[in-house]
Amino acid sequence: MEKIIEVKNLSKKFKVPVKQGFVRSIFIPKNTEVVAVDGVFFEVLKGEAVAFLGPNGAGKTTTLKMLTGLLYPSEGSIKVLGTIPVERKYTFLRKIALVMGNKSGLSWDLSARQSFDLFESIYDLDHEEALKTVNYLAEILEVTKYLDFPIRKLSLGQRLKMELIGAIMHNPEVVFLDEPTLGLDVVAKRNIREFLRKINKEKGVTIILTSHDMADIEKVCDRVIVINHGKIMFDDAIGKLTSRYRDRKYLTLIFTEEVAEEVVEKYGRVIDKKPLAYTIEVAGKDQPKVIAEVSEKLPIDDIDITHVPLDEIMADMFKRG
Amino acid sequence: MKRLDFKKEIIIRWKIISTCTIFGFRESLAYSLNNWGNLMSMVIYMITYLIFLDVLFGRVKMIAGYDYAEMLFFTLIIQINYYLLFVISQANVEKLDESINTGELDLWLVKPVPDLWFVSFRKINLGELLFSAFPATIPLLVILFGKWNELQIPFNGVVSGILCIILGQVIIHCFVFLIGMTAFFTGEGKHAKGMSVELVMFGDTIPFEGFPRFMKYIGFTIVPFIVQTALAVSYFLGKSTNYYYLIYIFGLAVLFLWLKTVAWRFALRHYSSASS
Repeated sequence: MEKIIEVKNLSKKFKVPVKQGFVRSIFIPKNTEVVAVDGVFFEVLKGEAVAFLGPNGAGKTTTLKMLTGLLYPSEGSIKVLGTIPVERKYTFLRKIALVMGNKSGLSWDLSARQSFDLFESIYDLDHEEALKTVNYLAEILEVTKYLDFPIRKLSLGQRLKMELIGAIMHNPEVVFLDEPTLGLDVVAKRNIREFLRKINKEKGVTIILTSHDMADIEKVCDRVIVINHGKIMFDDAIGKLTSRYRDRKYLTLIFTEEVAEEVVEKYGRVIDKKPLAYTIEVAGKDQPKVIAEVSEKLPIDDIDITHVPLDEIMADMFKRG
Repeated sequence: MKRLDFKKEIIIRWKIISTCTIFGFRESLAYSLNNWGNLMSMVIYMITYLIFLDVLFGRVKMIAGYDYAEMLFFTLIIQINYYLLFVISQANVEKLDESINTGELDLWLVKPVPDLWFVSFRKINLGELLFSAFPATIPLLVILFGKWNELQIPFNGVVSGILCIILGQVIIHCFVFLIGMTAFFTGEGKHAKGMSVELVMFGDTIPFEGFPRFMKYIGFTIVPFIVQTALAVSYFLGKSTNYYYLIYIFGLAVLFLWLKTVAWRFALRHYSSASS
């Protein structure tokens, strides 16, 4: 498989002003260096869907910005589609797309279709082809009837879908997405995830995604790169990440009447608590025994058995540093 | 091959200007009431200024060697320069500052366009020229045409004056752009840009002949406020016949364009991008 991205020993340091007195900060400003990305190595193959995961400030977005040529690396090298991103060659920029959940590239005052006309010109697309692509994408994302509405009149979800259409209407080979489902409702999120999966699987578009929403990652990506404090902590298939926690199970116990927490605690660590339901964590090998005991001793209505969710796995990983 | 690339580059640049102009025009039509408000404020300003000139020249015959008709012509060139600055430079620098501040610039820097060219001409508001500049200038044009016979405009002066306006616009565009680029480092450049506009428009208040020598030095060097209107009108009216100035300001325009390009590359290298 062709390598689309090659990153070697990549680092990014930012200078951040040190808080001082007003006069001092003007005449003798002091800066401190913050390491956002610290010597990371990775490669991405054509057609892969890769997620960057990490807590706030871990270095995910900075990495993404370096991959798209927005930021210059402090050290190390990057090659995306065989070129150095910061050189900003037209041929490179024509093959990539960037979607940022909280930033808008469409004109607030015009309709999405009018903004797409501008992009059509920028990417030098054939008008008929562009029209076909936009209509096709709008249909999949269920926003056809809003194409002629001014952007400022659209809901967040509709606007974000338009952003997505505008970003990929030139059929890029690599799509970089930074928090693409930020602030969206459940239906809109599902819609966008399915869409991303579709273009990844059907068109072979390489997807690089950062998100705090684990469902985004589970539904869209096959591989996950976990970053914390600018360093890579894990880089492999999502399945391998979850398999590390396979010896632990979550049991959601649904009761017919209220049960005290102290009683439930005897069977495992309480993870979540609701009036008639508790979620407890148990070791995989103890699972049958615990189920038998609670069924016998407590007023059980139903029991749900799940693997440790990705959210919890990540929280645990970050806690351990 | 190189010639082909050059042709392609020119086509891309032309396409950006034409597309962005149409796009900007569409945007300006989005708020029609705002256009009317703008037009009214500009007309009121122009009428007030014309009354001021009328009162002034009712008492004196000349100011800095300019009579009433010449001062009306001076005002016309001020209008042209002001609107060119407003529509081409100011609007784009404002947009650049805003997009640095909000991080929107990220989304434009990943588009396959010549970045500096694009941010320089991303928004050309033709609506402003059509709905505000032209109608607001009509009262001035009406009075000026009545006095046209009193003006002496030599052919050489027209050519030099037009060159001065073009080169002057290039120079002040670069100056305002350079100051506006401080937003890359400070995160906000609105007031710095406002200051730079005031500085370059300073030369639009006094005729060339009215400036003391040291002010002319400043106006021709670090704060280039004297070329686009003051010197241009002086040429138009045949008051300046020293054509060495033209060679000098051509060099100055090239220098400012070079500075703008170097500063842009430097700014991009140090661009930290607004947080997401």
